[in-house]
Amino acid sequence: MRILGIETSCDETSLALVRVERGRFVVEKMLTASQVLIHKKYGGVVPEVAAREHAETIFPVLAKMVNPKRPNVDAIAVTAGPGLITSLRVGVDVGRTLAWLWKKPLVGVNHIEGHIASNWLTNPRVAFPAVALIVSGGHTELLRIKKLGQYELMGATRDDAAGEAFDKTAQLLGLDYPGGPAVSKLAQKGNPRAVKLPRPMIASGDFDFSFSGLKTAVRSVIEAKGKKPKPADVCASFEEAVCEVLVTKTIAAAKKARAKTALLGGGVAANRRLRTLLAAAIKKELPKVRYVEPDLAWTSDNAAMIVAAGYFALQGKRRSDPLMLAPDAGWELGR
Amino acid sequence: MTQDISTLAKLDVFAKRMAGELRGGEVLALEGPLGAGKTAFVQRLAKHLGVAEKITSPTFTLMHVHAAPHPRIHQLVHFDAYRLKSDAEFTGLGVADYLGKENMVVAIEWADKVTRVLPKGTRRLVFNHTGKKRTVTAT
Repeated sequence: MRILGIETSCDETSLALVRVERGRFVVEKMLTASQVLIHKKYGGVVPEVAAREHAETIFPVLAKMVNPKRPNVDAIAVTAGPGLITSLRVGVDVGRTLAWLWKKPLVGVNHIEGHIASNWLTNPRVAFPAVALIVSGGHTELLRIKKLGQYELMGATRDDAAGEAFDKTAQLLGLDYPGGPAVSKLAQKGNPRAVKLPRPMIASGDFDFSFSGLKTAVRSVIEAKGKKPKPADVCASFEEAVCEVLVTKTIAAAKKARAKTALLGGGVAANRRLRTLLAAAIKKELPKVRYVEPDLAWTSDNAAMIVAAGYFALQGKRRSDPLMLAPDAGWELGR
Repeated sequence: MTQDISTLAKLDVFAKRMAGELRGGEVLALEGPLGAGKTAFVQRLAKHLGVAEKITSPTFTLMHVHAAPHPRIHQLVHFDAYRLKSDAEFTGLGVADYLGKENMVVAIEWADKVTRVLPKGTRRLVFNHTGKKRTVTAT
């Protein structure tokens, strides 16, 4: 079958056509509005925060994806939450309309479930139960997955997401946006032990996170009187602090959940240091646990991962009514 | 009026007093540098309005709406303009649905980036952080 995926939960307008054959995923086409429109309307400048712009940008993208006379689509998966209500509504309404017009099944997908499902786009073997660390600009969550479709939220950030901490550290150092990649790049030239930074909540005994204080600690280091640390050392030390907390808690969660697989997802899953440290820690401490990470192409918000999650939902006989599906900005997975 | 909020206990006292003053329909413009206490203030304000949900930073998600079991204030709407480059981006989030609505309180972090589209009567809270001392100035 061929599924059309729609993702408009935050900044990106992303559509994807994914073929699923005997449970294996083949991403045939994926487009985001910024790719299609960048040289056209905005003269190279795409607004960072799209919000209502989704309504304008989604149709040119759709026109490049499907032939309206022969859509050749068997089902539609659309992000229904969590996210920005103004943005979600555009994708959901387009999905509902197409499903109704084409008389094809529709399924509303949770954005976090999409990030979890991004791991399946490379068709790995996954044994359950599994744990997933989903980490991005807006989210930092640890989930237990009993089996596909059954999630339990084990912990989440109490203030800032890890990706946000990266971005704000970049801001403090005067680096470019997006801050995550800028900090990581500079970190490669720095010493991760050079600057002493806290490991917030590392020994809290639960699976929650807090990265707000780490941002403030970076600020104190930068603004302290006397000899200034090298920006590369600040970046490396900061990245190490974030990764150490994420890895330690993921290992503890995997033990608690008796996980057979550990999954990673979200924009910060593209961070190389995090991938390396998590893989090494699992190999050392939980040698029987299989570690799966998504391809870099599927770490940031994208519609292909929404298809993967939508496919599993459809397999589980979950469908949404095109006349009824409503976006849910505060939809929490596994609570 | 400038208040010392160097400890979380002092911030909590300030937030509690502010929660007691609110009647619904208020817009709170929160300003001040990274780490000055804007999100921490909203967390405590929410607590004193009876919000059960966890308050996290909306920097990337841009906006969170929280239900409150309060007699007059039914929703606390938490915006963050940190990533916004223009007033138009802020308007594009659909803020008109929330600003000044009588049963809502709207708190906007980094509000100094979108001052031109804030309604009359918006209350400014300027947070500051120098060394170990933190303050908030209400105007």
